[in-house]
Amino acid sequence: MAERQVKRKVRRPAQKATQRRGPVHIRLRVGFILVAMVLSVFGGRLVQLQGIDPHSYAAMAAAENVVDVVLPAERGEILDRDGEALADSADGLMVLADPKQTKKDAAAIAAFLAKELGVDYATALAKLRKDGSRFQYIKRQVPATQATAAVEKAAKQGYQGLWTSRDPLRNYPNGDVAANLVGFLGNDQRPLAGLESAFDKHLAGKDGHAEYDATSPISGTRMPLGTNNRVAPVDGNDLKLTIDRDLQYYVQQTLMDAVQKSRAESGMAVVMDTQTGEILSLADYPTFDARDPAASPKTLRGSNALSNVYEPGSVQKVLTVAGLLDQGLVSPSTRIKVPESYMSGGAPIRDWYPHGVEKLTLAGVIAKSSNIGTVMAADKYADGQLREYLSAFGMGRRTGLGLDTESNGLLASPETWNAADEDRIDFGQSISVNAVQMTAALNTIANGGVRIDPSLIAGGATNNSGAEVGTDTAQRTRVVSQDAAAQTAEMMERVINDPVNGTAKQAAVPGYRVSGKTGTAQRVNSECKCYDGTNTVSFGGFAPTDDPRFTVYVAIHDPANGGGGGSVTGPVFSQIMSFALRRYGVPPTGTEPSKMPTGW
Amino acid sequence: MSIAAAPQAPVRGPDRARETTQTRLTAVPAPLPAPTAPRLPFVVLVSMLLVGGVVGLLVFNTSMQQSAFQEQRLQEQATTLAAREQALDGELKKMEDPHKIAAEAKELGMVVPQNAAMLRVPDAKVEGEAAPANRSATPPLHPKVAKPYSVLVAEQKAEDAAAAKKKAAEQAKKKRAQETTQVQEQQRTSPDEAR
Repeated sequence: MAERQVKRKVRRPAQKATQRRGPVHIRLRVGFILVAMVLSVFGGRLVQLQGIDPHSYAAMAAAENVVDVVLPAERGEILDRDGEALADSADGLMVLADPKQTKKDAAAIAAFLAKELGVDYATALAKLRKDGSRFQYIKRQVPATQATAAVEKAAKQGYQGLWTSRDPLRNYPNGDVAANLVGFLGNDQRPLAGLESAFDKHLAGKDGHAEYDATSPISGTRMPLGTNNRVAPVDGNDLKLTIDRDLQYYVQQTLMDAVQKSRAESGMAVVMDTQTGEILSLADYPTFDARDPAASPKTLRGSNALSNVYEPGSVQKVLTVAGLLDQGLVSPSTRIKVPESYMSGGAPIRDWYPHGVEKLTLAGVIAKSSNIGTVMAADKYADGQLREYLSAFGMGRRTGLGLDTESNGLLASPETWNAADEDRIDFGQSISVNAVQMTAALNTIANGGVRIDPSLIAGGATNNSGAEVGTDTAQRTRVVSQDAAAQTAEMMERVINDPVNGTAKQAAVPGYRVSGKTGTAQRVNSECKCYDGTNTVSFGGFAPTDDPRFTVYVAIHDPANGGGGGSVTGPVFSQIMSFALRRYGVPPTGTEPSKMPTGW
Repeated sequence: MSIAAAPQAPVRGPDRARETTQTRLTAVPAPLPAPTAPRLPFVVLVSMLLVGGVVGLLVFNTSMQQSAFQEQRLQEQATTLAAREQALDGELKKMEDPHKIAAEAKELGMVVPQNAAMLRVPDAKVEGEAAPANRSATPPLHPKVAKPYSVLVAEQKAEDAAAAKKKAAEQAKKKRAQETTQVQEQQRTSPDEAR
């Protein structure tokens, strides 16, 4: 009974509830509909996730912990002929700050950074306090060790908001030595000049990257058995030059001294290995410091020796005469009666010194650098012959060192070539060259009449324009006969060793037989396209005369002391030649110097 | 049990059938309970395998994780050492800078020789002319003037260009201002014309 009573007691409210909620089957239906609705929502979501867009969430989940880092490729070094670095790369870091975090301790952090990184206190303070910014460069291209140490130390001292990021460094350990050739990289590591720019593809390499699951994106600790994709970086290739760094330094300093002593505008000097055509040194002054290119004006951040053209003047006579000798039209002892002046194209040609009628041999014409004598001898050329010779000597076209900034020089085309111009071209006016062209032409005489393409790259490399350049691809072409070259070399020796008619005794190197030729040319002003009264003085030559080892060419623009090729550039030539011969241990040949007659 | 076993007998095969014809019907002893392997060792084995596997996996994973941390540490160390090597190499290269060597040589009173003679050992012959070293072949270390002439010229040109640019910009601004005032005037005057 008690149970029944209980049952009743229990049932009663249930019955009441049933009456309240309605019949069972209706409740079931409602429940079923509710369940179905919820389930269909789930189902719809399932279809959305799995059917319509299955990858995005998977990717989001994966990305949560995936770290993708760039593995930087190392840029190739630029080396001198002995493997000494002229430009090399190192890992650097930039130190960055988040002003939002650094603002409150700005003064203390700025003082700390000034001490640790050597940044300017006031500048750093301003950056650390910058409103509305969350990203400020504190210092760029800091050596990795220094930057990491500084940031760690800052964190230890409780300064928040400093971090580092990759910022590769390009070092130019020698400053201005060969900077005119090597060039430099800008702040964003883009090449802006010189070989850095011309051989960028060769040097750059290709960055790799690594993608892996990390325990946290900040620490970067790798999760074992997680995603792990790695594309190894491909480092850039080194670029080995034919430049001799120490010789380059000496040449640059000597040239600088000469330009300053003569109060000149600028100067250039080239040293070439006679037998291989390798450029051992190519100097410009003024030049720039590759470590701080911004300190020099833009016009100086390259090689003027390559890009600038100028009229070579009397050094050119050597080429004119070599061609004549090759044709057998003259000999070194050909007698020439040189008048006071010589009419050509309606204007008189004069010599650099006043004289009456002079009796000179061809050797004397060269030794004394007589314009008139040269023109008279060159009259023996048939039409177009001189131009052919000059073209074969490499005038009017790039030497192909691989630098795109090189100029072509100016050699009149066969159509515009005329007799009056030819008379002036005989002694190096109305023709423009760059310093390397002239050196290569003189080197042809030194190398027994065979011209070698000058090269700046040891071995070979392909530059950005796709040209394969270097010693491997240097061409050799015969321009004049061996006899013609040897005779020219001996005549050039008289320039230096003839006590009466020689014009460049200062260019002598004691103990050695030296051949050379002076040049003084009027300069064409680029603005008025006229001769503006300033000169280019130059000296080119080689030693030892009977077995040449080096060809050296020096040109100085607008010396204010009124000096000529012999007095301004002669001593520079002598110093550089003497240094090179000594450095490479070239002994004197010990033969008797030339005593070719210069007068009659 | 026996009742249950009896109808099964003929199914068992002819051997058992033969036996029944030969022997009298007797109570079949209760068959031995099916030989069951003790359960406990099996359960223990399986649990051990399970637990061992899980623990082993855990230990393996942990050790992997640990080596990942170690790898990370070593990687950082390698990076630091590589950076240090680079820094030292950089310092060495800076010391090899010809400018620096020349400066130090000068401090020691060294000069570049003008000319040197060479001694040929086999026949003890001296070649070339030696000259006493003075300073004449030693170039100066630094430029004598702060800025060479062409730099001054270039800077002057840059200044001129900047000045010209500024002037042109000012003129352009003036012109624009004039034009706008003209336009404004035209706009002011046009309604008058309309009237």
